[in-house]
Amino acid sequence: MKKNQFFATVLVALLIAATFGIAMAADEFTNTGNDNKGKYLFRKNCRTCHIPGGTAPDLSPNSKTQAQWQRTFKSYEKLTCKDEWKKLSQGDLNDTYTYLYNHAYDSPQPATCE
Amino acid sequence: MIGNKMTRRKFLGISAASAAGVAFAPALTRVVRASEKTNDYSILPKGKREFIASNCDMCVNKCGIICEVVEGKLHKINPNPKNIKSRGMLCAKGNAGAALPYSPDRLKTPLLRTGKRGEGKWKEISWDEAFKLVAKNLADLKEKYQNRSCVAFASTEGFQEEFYYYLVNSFGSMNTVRHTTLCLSSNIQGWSSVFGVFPDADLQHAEYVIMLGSDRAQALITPDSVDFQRFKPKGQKLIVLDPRFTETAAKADRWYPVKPRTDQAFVLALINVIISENLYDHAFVETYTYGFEELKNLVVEYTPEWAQAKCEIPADEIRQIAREFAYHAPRSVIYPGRRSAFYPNEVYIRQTFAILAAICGCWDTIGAVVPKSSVKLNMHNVIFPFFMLSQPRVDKQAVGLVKDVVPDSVACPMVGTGLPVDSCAFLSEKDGSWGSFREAVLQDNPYPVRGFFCFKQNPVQSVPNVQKTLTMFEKMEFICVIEQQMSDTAWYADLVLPHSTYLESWDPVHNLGGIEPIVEFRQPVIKPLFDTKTMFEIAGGIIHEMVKIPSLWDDIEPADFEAFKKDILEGVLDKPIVEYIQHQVLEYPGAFEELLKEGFYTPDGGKARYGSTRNPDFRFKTKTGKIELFNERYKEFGLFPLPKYCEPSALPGPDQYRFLVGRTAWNTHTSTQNNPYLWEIQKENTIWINTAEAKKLGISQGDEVRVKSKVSEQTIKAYVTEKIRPDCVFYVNGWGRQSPWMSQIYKRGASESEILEDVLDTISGSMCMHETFVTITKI
Repeated sequence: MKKNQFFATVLVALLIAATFGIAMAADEFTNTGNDNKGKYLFRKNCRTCHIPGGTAPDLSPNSKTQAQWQRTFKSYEKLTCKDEWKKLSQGDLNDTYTYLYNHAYDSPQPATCE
Repeated sequence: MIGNKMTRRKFLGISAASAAGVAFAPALTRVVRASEKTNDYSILPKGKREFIASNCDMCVNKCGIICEVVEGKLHKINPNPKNIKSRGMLCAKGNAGAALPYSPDRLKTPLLRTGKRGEGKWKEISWDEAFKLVAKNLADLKEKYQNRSCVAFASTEGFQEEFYYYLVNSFGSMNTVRHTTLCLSSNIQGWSSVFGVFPDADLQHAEYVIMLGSDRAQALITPDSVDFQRFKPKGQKLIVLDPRFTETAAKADRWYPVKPRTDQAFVLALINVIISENLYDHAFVETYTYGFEELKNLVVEYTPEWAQAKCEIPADEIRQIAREFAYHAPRSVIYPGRRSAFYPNEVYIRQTFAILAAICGCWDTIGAVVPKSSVKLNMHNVIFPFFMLSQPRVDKQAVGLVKDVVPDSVACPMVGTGLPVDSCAFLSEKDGSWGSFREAVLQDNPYPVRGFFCFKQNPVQSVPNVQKTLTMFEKMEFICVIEQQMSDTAWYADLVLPHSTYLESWDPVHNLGGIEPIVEFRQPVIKPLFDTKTMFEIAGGIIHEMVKIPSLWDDIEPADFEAFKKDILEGVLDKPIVEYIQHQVLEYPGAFEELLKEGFYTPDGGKARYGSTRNPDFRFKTKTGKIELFNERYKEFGLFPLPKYCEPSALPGPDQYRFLVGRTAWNTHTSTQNNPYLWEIQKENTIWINTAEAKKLGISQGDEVRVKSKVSEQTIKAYVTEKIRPDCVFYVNGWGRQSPWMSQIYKRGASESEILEDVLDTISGSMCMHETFVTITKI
């Protein structure tokens, strides 16, 4: 990799990180993302561990209430899997949140992952 | 039935048998044997005899069966006496399943249309050709419209439906439409608004039962149809409200021919009496419910005298029923029933039922309504790709749709009745709403839908206002139907794929939630007779062809495509289905062997489960976490949070009758009428007309009459009877068929979907099948 290419890459990475960090700090998760994409992302990213017999407790959208999902997303940095969360873009996190919030235990359409 | 020249003796035999379910078996055996004789089978064939356990698929109940197979041929189907859900019962339909594989009207190989749609010109093609054709059409539609949701997928419940969804999810359409809004979606919505779930009724132990509009002796649901008769406790009282004197009414202690659409007034008055006379369960209300004071204020005006003027049931009898219901509580049941696709305010009607149960503490205890329990199965954790070109459902996106679905006469007065007038408030993402979905497709609102797949559903016969369905089909560039016989919907398809019968195939394990949870599966009883396949095989065949077409995968991540092939194809569909089944019950040692032996499995011997939610800390699936007598979510959505009574928005005119729909115990919707054994019982439908009204119209028993609604007309024979209110008429679904390949029933009787108007309940998206008014004239 040429020197200027390297610096460009680093700069882009820093910009993305900064944007990501600012966005995350804002805690602005809304349930207006892409529900369908959120379902896919949740299964792909979370259900690798959060499955029956997995390394983490089984989780489905209806495992928590809407308020509980709000709190989970607001304070995800307290979770042991926080590093996995940080790999996701703000958009992907918001889509995941949309799916979970819209299908939470106390939502009009509670959903399991079955 | 009189029109069918049925003798009094035969009629009484069937009536009694349908009410008693299991008692029907001996009567049917005679029919079976007679049919076998005509087919030149010996009555008791000799040879190797086997008895194989499986489960019925002639209706939704999935009753346990033991199949007697002689030399590889199915001789007879018997009830499985051990099955806890079906209580060892097998009805006429279950017995008649023995004729299904051998029907001459079965589809035997894939068929490709060669003439115009509906012309009946077909050519046989191989499965390889069929799979390639489906994949190519899917790819072409996706490319043309740049939206995977341009193809819609209709289906109904059944064990193989989950593999249909493998196909749906592999293509990535969001437009699925199931049977639910033609059946019980408003019922689920109404009960769930109070308890967060749709419960079962413990009829085996209830001391007092009120059934409103449910004909459980004819529209069989197990175990309820058995329990309310064979296992009812001594002294159990049954109160039935129905505009018809049904078989269930015949079993009742008291029957009220309630004025249609006023059941809610009756139940509101019960609540009024129970609260005003201080008969409610104070401790339960205090501990578990939310919104009692608001409810109390609401029902003050709903006195028995007020209700009497609405529903025509005497006020003193309403008082008596209220007191009796409270006296027997918690062993009192206001029966949730099943189909509720009746009226625009049906959700509020069902909410009222649930509230009555709640204030009397008739919840989650013996003899009450009880939340369903289930057996946890080991799921296949497959991940379908996210397709960039999948737009949300048409009926979810479309704006201003409802005003076009609901006729003006109904829509305008609905403003101010607590019902949405712009779109459906609660639309299930998987079930959709037939009414709003079809309207969105007809209007291309918000985008075109040009492909249609259909598995096990028959919308041409089952969805009201068939002309709209046929117009919708005209918009389609490709229609594929997967069926066992040439249904009326298959008749209009471009490609028809023949599905195996439930007696020839393996079906995955399914949870039948209930008070006594049970899991069931199916195993082959006989070898496949023709070149048919199951949905498991069909999905696998189509998807294999799909992965060969690169353009079908250009809107997902390449890594996801590789994972898809590995997980979905290699991991599930390429393996024997038996491995899938074994994986499902992996957690329960010996369960698979038990399934093979008995056809069902229960981890704890099928013990009834009561009381899981009767814990003050339990959080119900409602907004407040309590049992909501006042619904916070409805308030949030701008709906009435309480079940306020609204006057009917439309009533029959002076020469009109309200058209009612229902079922018999010997047919399932539109799927069994062509069965030769069941055809022996009923060869066409007839219209029930009250004797006094028939006299006015000059109609005698068996006369041909013209039934005319706003949308169409039908010709049918009259059944003049005292068993129906003068302001209503009734005939059963499943007749007046358009497909000539349904050889025994083609054009016999009258079609329901031709007559019914499409009126929508805008809270649940359900069709309202008792909102059509017709005129009757003698031909």
